[in-house]
Amino acid sequence: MTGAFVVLPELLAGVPFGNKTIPTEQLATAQDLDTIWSLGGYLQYSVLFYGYYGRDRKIGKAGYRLPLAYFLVGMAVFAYSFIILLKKMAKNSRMSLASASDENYTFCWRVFCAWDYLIGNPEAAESKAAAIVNSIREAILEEQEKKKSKNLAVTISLRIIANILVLLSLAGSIYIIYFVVDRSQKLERTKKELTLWEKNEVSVVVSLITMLAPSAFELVAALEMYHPRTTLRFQLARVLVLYLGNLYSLIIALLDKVDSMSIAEFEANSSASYWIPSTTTLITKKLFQENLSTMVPDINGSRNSTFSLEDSRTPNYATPVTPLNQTVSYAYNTHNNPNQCWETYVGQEMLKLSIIDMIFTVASILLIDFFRGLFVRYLSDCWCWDLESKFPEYGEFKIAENVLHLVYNQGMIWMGAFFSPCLPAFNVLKLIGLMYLRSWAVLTCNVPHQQVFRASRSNNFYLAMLLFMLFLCMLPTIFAIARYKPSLSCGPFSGQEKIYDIVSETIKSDFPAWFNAVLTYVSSPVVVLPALLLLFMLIYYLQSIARSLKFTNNQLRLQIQTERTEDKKKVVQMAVARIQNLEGNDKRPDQESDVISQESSVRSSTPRKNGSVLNFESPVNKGSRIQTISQSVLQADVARPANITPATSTPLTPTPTVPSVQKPRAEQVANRYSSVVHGSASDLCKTKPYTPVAFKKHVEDVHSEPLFRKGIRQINPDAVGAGAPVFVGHRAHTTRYFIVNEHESRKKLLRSTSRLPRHFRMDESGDIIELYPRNVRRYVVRTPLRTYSPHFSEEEEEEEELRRDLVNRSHRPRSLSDLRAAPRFYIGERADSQILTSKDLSKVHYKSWDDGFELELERPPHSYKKPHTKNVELDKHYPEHHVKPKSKHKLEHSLTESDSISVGSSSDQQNSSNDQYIQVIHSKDKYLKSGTKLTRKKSKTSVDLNMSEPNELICSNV
Amino acid sequence: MPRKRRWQPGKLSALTFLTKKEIIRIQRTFQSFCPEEKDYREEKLTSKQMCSWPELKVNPFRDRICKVFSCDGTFSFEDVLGMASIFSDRASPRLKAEYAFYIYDLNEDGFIDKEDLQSIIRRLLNTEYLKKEDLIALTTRILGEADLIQDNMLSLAEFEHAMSKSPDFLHSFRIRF
Repeated sequence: MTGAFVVLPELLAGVPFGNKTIPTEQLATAQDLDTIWSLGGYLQYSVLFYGYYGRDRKIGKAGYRLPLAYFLVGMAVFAYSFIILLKKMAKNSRMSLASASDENYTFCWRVFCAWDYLIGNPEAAESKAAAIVNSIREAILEEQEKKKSKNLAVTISLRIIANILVLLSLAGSIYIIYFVVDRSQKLERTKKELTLWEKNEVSVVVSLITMLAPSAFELVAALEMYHPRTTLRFQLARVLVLYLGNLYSLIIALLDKVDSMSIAEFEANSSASYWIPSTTTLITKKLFQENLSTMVPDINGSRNSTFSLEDSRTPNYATPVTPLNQTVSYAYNTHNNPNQCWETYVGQEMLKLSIIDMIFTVASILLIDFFRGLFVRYLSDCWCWDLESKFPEYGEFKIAENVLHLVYNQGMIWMGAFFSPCLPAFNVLKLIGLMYLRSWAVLTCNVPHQQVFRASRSNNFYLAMLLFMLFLCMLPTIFAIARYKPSLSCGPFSGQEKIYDIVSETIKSDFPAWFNAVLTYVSSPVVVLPALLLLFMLIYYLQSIARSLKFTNNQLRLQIQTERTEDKKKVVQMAVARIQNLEGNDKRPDQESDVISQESSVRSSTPRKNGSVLNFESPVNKGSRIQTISQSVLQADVARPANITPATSTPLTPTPTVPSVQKPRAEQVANRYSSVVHGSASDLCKTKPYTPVAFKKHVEDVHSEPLFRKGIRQINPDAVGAGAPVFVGHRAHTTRYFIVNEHESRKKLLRSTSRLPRHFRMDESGDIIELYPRNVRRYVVRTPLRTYSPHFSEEEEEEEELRRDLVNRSHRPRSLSDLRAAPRFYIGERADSQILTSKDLSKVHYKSWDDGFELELERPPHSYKKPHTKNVELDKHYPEHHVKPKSKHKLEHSLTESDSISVGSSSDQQNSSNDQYIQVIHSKDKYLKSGTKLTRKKSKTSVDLNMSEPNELICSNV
Repeated sequence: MPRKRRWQPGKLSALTFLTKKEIIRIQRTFQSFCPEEKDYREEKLTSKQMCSWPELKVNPFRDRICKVFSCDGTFSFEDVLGMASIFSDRASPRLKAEYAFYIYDLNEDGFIDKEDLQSIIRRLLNTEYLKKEDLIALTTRILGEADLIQDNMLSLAEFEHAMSKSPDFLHSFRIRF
């Protein structure tokens, strides 16, 4: 920008104007290394510096207004930097907002997402590995930091000490810089010939401080024991302050000097006016001066005074005072003030600083990194300790500090750009060169920093520093522009009171009159004050909006957090469910074994399992079960007479308590699953293929059930008080139901015999499914054993009724075997938990009197599966036990059951049963009443059931 | 004798997440590993050959990748396509996570356990050294974060969950063949 708008026009068109030639006296030394080094000579009168530019308002044929352009460009650079920085920061903050997450899986991600699978080149792989090491180290460090116990008193005192140290060193560095600048000024005044050191003292000292202080700060920071990331921040902040302090003290010292210079000028002027009358004898000198002035209009050398230049340029002073001026200038020369053009001087200093900084950086890279690396690498073999891992080590590449260095450089550019238009260009070249050098050094002789705290992610941090820097660097420039009068002898603004006058001047002369008038109105307090007020209000408004947004932001983040934790919980639940399934599978075999041993005593364990089974059962199973249940009811009604005998054979005395227990359960179940029923329709469809088989089985089961029921009912009138026997009967029923369920399961299994494993997977919801395979096997085993079936004929009849629906005959034999086994089941049933059985029974009853089959029916299947397995096992094991053992068991059971009921009323199920006692009784009454009529009802129900069943089946087929 | 099929990258790209171009490129690379005169479709590459593909050469998990995607340690062209498909940009995150899980399940017991984690970290670090206690601390941290049911290993579900939250898993878990 500067190049385009200032330097190029000046180079192209500015040649005939301005003071671009070197004073003759200086020509002699212009080529000396010394002069070049101090940016004197040719360089001083080049485009590099302010002084080179002419003051003519227009240059070239096109009338390019160079001074105006110079000023505007200078300002535009600042404005542009500001805008770019702010834009970038806004973008960054948006990005960081988007990805801002309080990572819950930091470590996981760091490990599992660490490797970039795209990497296909060994070098990249190596550096990636290094980066991973870094990130992991960082993570570990962070962890360690969290765990570190803190001794508060010590750390606080240490931190205070550290901060004092830092402040001291900052103050020291500032003082040193000031002192050095001051000394150099004095030296310049007193000494004619300055040594190389004396000339460059200032920049060298500044660079040295910027080099050394950060490492000192690092040592200090070690005292503080902060979290590494905060340490880094502190370090960066301190270094930044140091850099700023350096720049500031430098610029202040320079401005001080400028001040003194301008004061000197002023004094000179005034003294000149005094000396006009007093000194009249200096003609020779005057002549000499005239010669000089004719030869070279601008004589800037150490011997020539600024005044000669001023004279030539500023007619006010010059014409009358020329001879006297000469004396003044000579008098001034004795003061040895060579820099009549303070802008150039400042620019020179800045450029010098920049160059020396470059030299020091290169030197430090070479010395500290490269030679150290060489030294460590090649001498470590013959050294007394391991150089690579102990003291010198390899240099670490400190990203943060390097970035800071860049910021510092940028600050220098901003500070010097106005006075040295080519400084930015020079700096760009310098930085590009340094970048390559650095990258070479980093790749060859640096090891990665041990603690890289996501320097890249604190992007905005660096940008904020840059912005801060920009602001602070702009201040002195603006101050200088506003405060100091431009030097008279050189530069585009010479002869003006203030630099910014150029703008108003341009406006006055080059714009139409109305524009000027408008501007004066606009700049009048009438407009400015309200505008300011408006701006303040705007700022306040925006700030309040930002605050509220922040608040909502936080709220949303909280919400996300909670949702995440909920997410986690869900996953946990899923996992738990899975585990339970696994455990359930493990348990079931146990259950079976328990069942085997149940006869003796194991009853309690089974009920629990059953309960769990209920919960787990999938809706799919329900549908099929429902159908089966309905069938069973019908069958029971039909079969009563025939079945009664077997039931009665077992000494069952149905008591009111039993039904009560049953009903409540059924109701409960109904309540629970009422909702399920609706949903189960689809499930039914799914299970339809199985249902036919289930029906057959059910029918068979039903046969056994009806027997029990009938027995119960019959018994009920006889023995109302004896609940125990009733229980037994119920149990039998329940067992049968269980069987029914088993059948279903079996059917599935049978169907899928080849793909058994798949089935299991499908029905993950219920552990039961997994159990089935065993049942199936058992079934197969049983069939031979169970050859006798008292109810067989009945069952067959029922079956025939249902046969339409029943598609699979292959299952039949099994079902038959089951039916036969049913009587034995009683025994097994005893083993089963009483509660469960009672529930089952209740369900059965419910169905019989209530028309709403679906709800009730659906429930039972859930609870039955486990008992089935038990029954089966029992059957297997106890084919011989038959009636007698049953009766004994039943008695025992009844006792136990009654006990359990009375005692165990605490259990929810029992309680509920008690509450619903009345209802149960009603049902009983109904039952009893209908005992004779049962057949009718049953027939009706059966019809209904049949009707419903076919419908369902059809649905399923569809 | 299998019927000779025509070379149909379009069809294959419908079956995979790959584009035609990618498939053709893979086919070329594949062919370059086959003996000249033979049909590449009947050829099988060994895992070793596969690992020497430039895309896998430096991957610390290349042996695992080969194991997961090959059948019986050899790669038919389809196997390679399957692998490339999983690693392509268009594969679904879940799929990627699943295969990542298989790759990271070094001992193939269906879980990523401590042992797996430690060897994963060791592989990642390449030659770099990490202190033993750091290694252990790291694994426990990882398990603490992602092991939701506290059984000291990561199941597929847990792994998937953790990865689904990761911002850069999808970026890192891909290979352009």
